[in-house]
Amino acid sequence: MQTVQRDPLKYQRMLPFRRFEGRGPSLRISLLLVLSVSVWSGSNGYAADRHATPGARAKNNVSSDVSNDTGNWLAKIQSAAQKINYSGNFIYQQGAQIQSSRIAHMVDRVGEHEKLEILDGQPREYIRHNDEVKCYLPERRLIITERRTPGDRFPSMLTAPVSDIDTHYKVRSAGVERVAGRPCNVKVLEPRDKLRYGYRLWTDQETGLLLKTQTINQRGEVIEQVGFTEVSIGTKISRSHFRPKVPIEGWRIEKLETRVADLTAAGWSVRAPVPGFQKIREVRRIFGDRREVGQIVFSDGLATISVFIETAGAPGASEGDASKGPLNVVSKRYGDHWLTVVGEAPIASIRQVANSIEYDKALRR
Amino acid sequence: MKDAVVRAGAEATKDFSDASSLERLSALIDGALAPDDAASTIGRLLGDPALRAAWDEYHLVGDVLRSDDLAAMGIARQDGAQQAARFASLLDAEPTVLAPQAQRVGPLRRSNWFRFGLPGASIAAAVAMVSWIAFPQFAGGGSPLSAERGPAGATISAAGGSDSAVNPGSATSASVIAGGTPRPVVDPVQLQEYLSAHRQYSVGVMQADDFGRVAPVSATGSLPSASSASGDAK
Repeated sequence: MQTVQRDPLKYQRMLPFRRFEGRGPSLRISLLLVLSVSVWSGSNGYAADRHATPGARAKNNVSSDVSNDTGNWLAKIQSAAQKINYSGNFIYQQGAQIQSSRIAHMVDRVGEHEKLEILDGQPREYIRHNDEVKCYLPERRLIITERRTPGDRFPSMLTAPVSDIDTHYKVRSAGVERVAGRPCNVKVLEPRDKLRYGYRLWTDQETGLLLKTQTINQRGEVIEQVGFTEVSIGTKISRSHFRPKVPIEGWRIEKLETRVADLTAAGWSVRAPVPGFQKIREVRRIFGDRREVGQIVFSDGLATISVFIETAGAPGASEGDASKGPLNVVSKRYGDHWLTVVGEAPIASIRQVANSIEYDKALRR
Repeated sequence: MKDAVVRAGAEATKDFSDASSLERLSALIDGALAPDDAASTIGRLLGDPALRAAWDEYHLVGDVLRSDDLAAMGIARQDGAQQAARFASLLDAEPTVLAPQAQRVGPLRRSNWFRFGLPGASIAAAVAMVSWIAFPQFAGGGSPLSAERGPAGATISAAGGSDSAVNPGSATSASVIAGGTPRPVVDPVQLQEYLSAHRQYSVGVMQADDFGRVAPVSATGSLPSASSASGDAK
C-alpha cells in the first residue's frame, strides 16, 4: 500500500467530507488503493487512521462519493486520456446522426502524439503533437493549424479545472457494464438544478480511461453520446503512425488563430451567468466574411457556454432560438450590437445568459 | 402562426387549387390589396394551412432572391449531379407555384418577378437555394438546425421535398403577417460559424462539419466600442 503525502492542515479541512470515517481500516485501504493510482501527486491523501478525530462519524451511504473523490476521479479520467497509449474506433451519436472516428494516442519522451481520423462525411485527419494540432482536409488540399490545450476532447472531458463539481452535480455509482469488450465502472452525474444536463460515464476498470459518455437532458433522454466500439489499451504505437497518410505538397496552410481579448475592459459584462459556470477565456476572432466577433467562454467543467458579441449590421440575422442536439442557441440584438449565445445547456440557461449581458460605457477601463 | 410547426411543405402545397386565393395572396404580399381585402385574406390565411404554406414559400423564395449571401452560394456545390437529379424530381413533384400567375397590374418590382415568370436560370437558382436551405446536409453542412421562433415569428416549412429521408427540420425565416417589413432569413452558415467557434473550446467530439469556413486573422480592428486591450495571439 502506498503512503501518500499528507499535509495535516489540509487534511483537517477535509474532515467534514469524510463520511466513511470509523468504518474500519479495510474500507479505508480499499478506497486508498483506488485513489492511489492517480497520478495527481498532491497532498490530498485519505489514508488516515492516525489522524482520525472523534468528531467525524461514519455515514452509511458509501455509494455516493465524497466531494473530493469526485474531483479526483474526474482528474483521473483526464490523466488516463493523456498518459496512456490507446487506439480504437469510436462512434458519436446525436439525434439521427452518427459519426465514426478512429483515434490513436501515444506518449513518449517528446510528449503526447495523437491522430484522429473522421471516417464519415468530409474526410479529415487531426494530428497532434502536444498542443499543436494540424487538421488535414484532402478534399480542399488544406491544412489548418491550431494550438489547443490537450484534454478537451473525448476521451478527455474537462473543459475547466473542477474544484467543486459536487456543488452542481450529484455523483453516484451505477454499477459495472461492459463497453468495447472491457468492464467499466459506470457513474452518473445528476445536475442539482435545471440549468444543466446530466452525464453518464463509463470508465475502464483497469486503466480509468473513459470509454463511453452520454449527455442526458431533464427528461432522462440521451441527447448525445460517444463511445468506443473497439479499443486496445497499452499497446505500443510507432511514431510513424502520426503522420499524414497522403502526400501534401502544394497544399495550402492556414492558421486558425484567435487573439486574447478583454471584453470586460471594453465595458461588457454578463451579470447572471449560470451558477457554477466560470469564465475560462475571452478571445477575438474573425469570421468568414471578415466580421470581427468577440467570444467569452464560460464553463462549469463539463459544459461550456459561449457568448458572441459583434457590431450589428449584417443584414442576414434574425432573433430567436435554435437548437441542435445538446446545443442551444439564442440570438438577439442589443442596441448596436448583435449577441449570440451558444452552449450545451438547456435553452432556459442560454436565455438567462443572453438576457443578462450588459454593456456599460462607464465600466470601460 | 404562433406555434412553431415545421413541415415538409410539398404535401401541404399540393392540395390547393384555388387560383384566386393565390392571386390575392400575391397581392397581399405586394401590399396591393385594399385594407378590407387584406383583412379578409389574412383571416383566410390564418385558417387555411395550404394557403399558409404558399405564403411561406413566396416569402422564402423572395428572401432567397433578395439575400446576397444565399445567392452567392451558387448551385455549384460538391455533389452537383446528385442535386440536379433531386431538383428534377422535386420540380416534377411540385405544382408550379413559381410559374407566372394571372396578369397583374402594377409596377414591375422585384417581387413581381416570380409571378410573371423568371428567366430559367433564376428559377433553377431559386429552387436550388430553397433546397439548400431545406436540406443543408447536401451541402455538407450536417443536419439542419431546427428552430423555434420567438413570440412574433413563425417557422417556415421546407419548400419542396416529399422525400421522407430528409429531415423535416429546416432553416428558418420569419414573416410577420401583419404586413410589416418581412424579417430576414437566418443564415444557417452564419450559425454554423458560431457553433464551430464554440466547439473549439467545448469538450466533445470533432465533427465533420466543423471548420466550414476558415479565414486568416487580420491584424487590424478593435472590438466594438473599445480601444483594444488585447494581448498577443494565444
